[in-house]
Amino acid sequence: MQGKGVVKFFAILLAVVCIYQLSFTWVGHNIKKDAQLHAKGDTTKEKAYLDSISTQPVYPVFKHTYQYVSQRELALGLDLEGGMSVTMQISLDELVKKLSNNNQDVVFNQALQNATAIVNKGTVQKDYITLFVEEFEKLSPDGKLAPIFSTKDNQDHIKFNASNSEVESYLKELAKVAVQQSYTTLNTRIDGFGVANANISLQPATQRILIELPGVKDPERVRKLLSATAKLEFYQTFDNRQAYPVLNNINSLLAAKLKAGKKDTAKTPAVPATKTDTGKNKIAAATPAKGDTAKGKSGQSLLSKVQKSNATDTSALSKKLSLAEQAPLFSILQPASYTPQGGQTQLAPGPVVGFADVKDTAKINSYLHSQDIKASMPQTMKFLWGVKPRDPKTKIFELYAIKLVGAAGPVLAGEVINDARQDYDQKGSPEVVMIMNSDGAQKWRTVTAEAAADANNKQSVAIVLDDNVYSAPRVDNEIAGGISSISGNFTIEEAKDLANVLKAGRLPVRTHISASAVVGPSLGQEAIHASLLSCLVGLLVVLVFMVAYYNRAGTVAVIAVIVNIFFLMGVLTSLGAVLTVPGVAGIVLTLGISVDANVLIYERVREELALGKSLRIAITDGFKHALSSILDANISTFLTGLILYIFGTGPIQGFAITLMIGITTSLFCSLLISRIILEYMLEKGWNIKFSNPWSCIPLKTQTTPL
Amino acid sequence: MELHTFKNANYAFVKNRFKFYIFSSVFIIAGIISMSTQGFNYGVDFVGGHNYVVKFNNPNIATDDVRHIVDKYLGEGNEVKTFGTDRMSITTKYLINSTDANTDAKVKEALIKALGTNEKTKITAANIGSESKVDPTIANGLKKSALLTVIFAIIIISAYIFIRFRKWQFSLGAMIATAHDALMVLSFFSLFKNALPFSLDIDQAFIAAILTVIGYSINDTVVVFDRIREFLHLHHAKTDEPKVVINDAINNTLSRTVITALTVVLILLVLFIFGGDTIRGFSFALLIGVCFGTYSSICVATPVIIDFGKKDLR
Repeated sequence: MQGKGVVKFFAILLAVVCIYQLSFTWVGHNIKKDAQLHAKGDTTKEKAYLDSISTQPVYPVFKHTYQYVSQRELALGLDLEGGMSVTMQISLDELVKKLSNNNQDVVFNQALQNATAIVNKGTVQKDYITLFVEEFEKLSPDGKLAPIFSTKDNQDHIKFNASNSEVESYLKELAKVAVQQSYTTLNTRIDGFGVANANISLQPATQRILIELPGVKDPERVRKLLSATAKLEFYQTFDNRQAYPVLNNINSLLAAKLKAGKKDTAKTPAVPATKTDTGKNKIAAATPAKGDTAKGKSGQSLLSKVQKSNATDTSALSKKLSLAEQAPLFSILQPASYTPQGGQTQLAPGPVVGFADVKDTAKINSYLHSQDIKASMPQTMKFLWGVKPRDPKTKIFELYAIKLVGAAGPVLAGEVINDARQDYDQKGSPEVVMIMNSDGAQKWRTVTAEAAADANNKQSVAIVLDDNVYSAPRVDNEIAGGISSISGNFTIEEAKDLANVLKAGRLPVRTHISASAVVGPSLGQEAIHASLLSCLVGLLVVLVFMVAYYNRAGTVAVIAVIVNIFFLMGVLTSLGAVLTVPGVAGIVLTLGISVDANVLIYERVREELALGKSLRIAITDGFKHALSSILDANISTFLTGLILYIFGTGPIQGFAITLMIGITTSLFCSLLISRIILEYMLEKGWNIKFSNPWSCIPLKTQTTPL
Repeated sequence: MELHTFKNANYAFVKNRFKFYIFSSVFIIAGIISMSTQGFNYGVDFVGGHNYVVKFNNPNIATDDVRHIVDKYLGEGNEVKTFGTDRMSITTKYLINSTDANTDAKVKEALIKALGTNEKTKITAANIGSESKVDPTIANGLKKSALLTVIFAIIIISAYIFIRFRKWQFSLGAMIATAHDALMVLSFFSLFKNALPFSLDIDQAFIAAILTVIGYSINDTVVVFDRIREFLHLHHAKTDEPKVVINDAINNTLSRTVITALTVVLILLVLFIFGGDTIRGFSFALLIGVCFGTYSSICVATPVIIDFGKKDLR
């Protein structure tokens, strides 16, 4: 055998590297055992123990820290360790719509819908933009995309006469950026979550992001963290006293509509009445100080009526029903008011305009969002709910009146946030402190100064996240330095996650969880024990068989197979591969392949021996003649592994990796290592038997008669 | 005592090849009919839906009872299967098209509530061992990509065989053998989908199993092919008659083929018996796949060369 020295050198080098790589798993395992002993079943204590030593040198001689060690351990997959896997789908239709500035073109929107439908069916492996352009051209063969997309924002990139393919490549470019940004954002969020061995991968072709979080025990928290769009906005607000007339008007509009509906005929005077009412009220809302007097009074009286009836008899269903007809809105939305000692009920100051039970919020939303009601409201006003009930014991939510400024609406948006962290407010409850960049700080100062300008009527600024009002503090003084905070009955974890999400920035496009799996750790424990045990038993059975069938040569094969497993694990660890159940199956299969190579060689050696060759020559020829079979067989299996790796996902890839590495190490072991051992035995003059009496049959080459 | 089974092997594989063809054809045709009529049991990876593995407090509940209860409250189309010895796997399509962030929690809540309507099936969240959700989108994509992967693997391997053996007959033999094995396993999983005490689900792991079977089968087939090539190149060969050469090659490698199959089957048997419920279907697919693979390389792939080859294979 040529190059024996080289083979020996490589074998020893590989062995040393593998021992070093596997030692991390060993050290890490021991430390975790220590932690378990120390904590005696208390998981928080265990975690604290591990955290405390994460920067301490724990690795002998080299003095690596525990953190370093744990990163180099053989990582177990979700199915073995338990945890959570999530697939996020990035929706590009929204991005395309935004780029067209919400173009209302029928063909354009139809093409978008068709493309989304195709993607949702999942049968076509094309990216969204290509599909969209295809669909567009299908619907309108001569249609041009350029006019749709050459909006004010895009006109530098898309000329009005640009060809469709130019538009397509521009869209693709932006889509790529959006996908990449989503990936980076989610990455940052996961980093902040603090999971060891989290695995995040992007599939650009299908715009999916796969996330694996081993050991995660709170799936709800992860879902919230990942799917939060984190659209943070700061709004000016309307005072309740300005907003009440609007609500009152809506209420009477609804009542009129209900009445009209009841009469069942269209010729009621409700319609013109509505119109005049709307017109009046717009003025009222725009100049609340003037118009408040008359309207306010009637409103106030109704308000007290509602409250009275609410207070006096709630069980009288008929009365309530008639109230619902008379005041559809105010029967479910209680206006924000207070009754001073001995005085008359008055509207409460501040941006809160009303309270409602959680079960009524959907109905109120449908009222407020209906077309004709929207038309009756001042364009600068919208209503948003508070994020949490005002009292954790009840389910009563607050409705805020938000003032829109300029085209966008909010006075300041989340992009200005530079940094965010969890902290505690004066009352000691968790809050999120946000630090703005200089631009944002400047604006924030102007906004707060404006809000605090009128000493008698200080305004509130609403902090809104994903269209929920987190808080709307009254601004007493202008705030310099660009620091603001969000509080809202957070738990510490919620505050931490929110800070994390704000810091990572918002997702550029809508991204939703399209698949998720939680593997209970108990199931994982069970699976790991079962598969490890079966591996060991399987190995044992095969090794016993090899020795029984091939005698002393069989022991050589056993050594080769064991060395193969050792190398395989070492290489897997050093590549940072994650061991999963299919991975374990891959290892088992590799064992089979490794044994097969030895069987091929030994069968061949036996044939050579049967031809009357000497042991030395029979071994040499046996290896030589078996080589092409072994190589061809292994290369074709390797190719299968490669295809699996390229086209497969998640678990299939894990299987493919173990298979490919296994084939490589098994070739090395069966062709080279066992050869070296056999030649060593020959040199020592040992008698190498290739069979036991029961398996020893001289071979006769025969010709089959046909 | 001598064991003559393999060493003096002299079985007329080539002569009897038509019997094997008929057996395989009948099985595969029956399988295809079954696939088109009763289809498969798809795992949640392929159907799309929410899947929960539930351990009931009461061990004597029938899957049918659970399914009726779940169907009643979450709509039709739910799947309830036994999972291991003491658990059930429940897959529901309830709210599957909703992209609302709280859907997962809602479905879980609805399931617990539905099961809670009957005293016997009452559970709490603690009874749910694992849960997973797959969008129909992903499921469809997976099915398609799995099929493509299999076809692609077969093509690539055939191309490799063609490069190595320089004869399209070998390539075709390999292609038929691999397609045969994949179809046999698929047929088996469709024909016996409800006949066995464990689930024969088509899921991601099943695809991995099919591909492993293809890899293994090609491994087996190539070894026999290699021997044929060797015999054809021997100048002192007694005969050029392809039928004789090929039958000899099969018999000569039979010992190796069977021993290798035996060792792999041993490992897989252990994996199947002790490997746990999660990979039982997977190891079963591998197990029957390896048996079919061994059978195909001996009885189908190699004889096929004769029926497509001319008189002389040199």
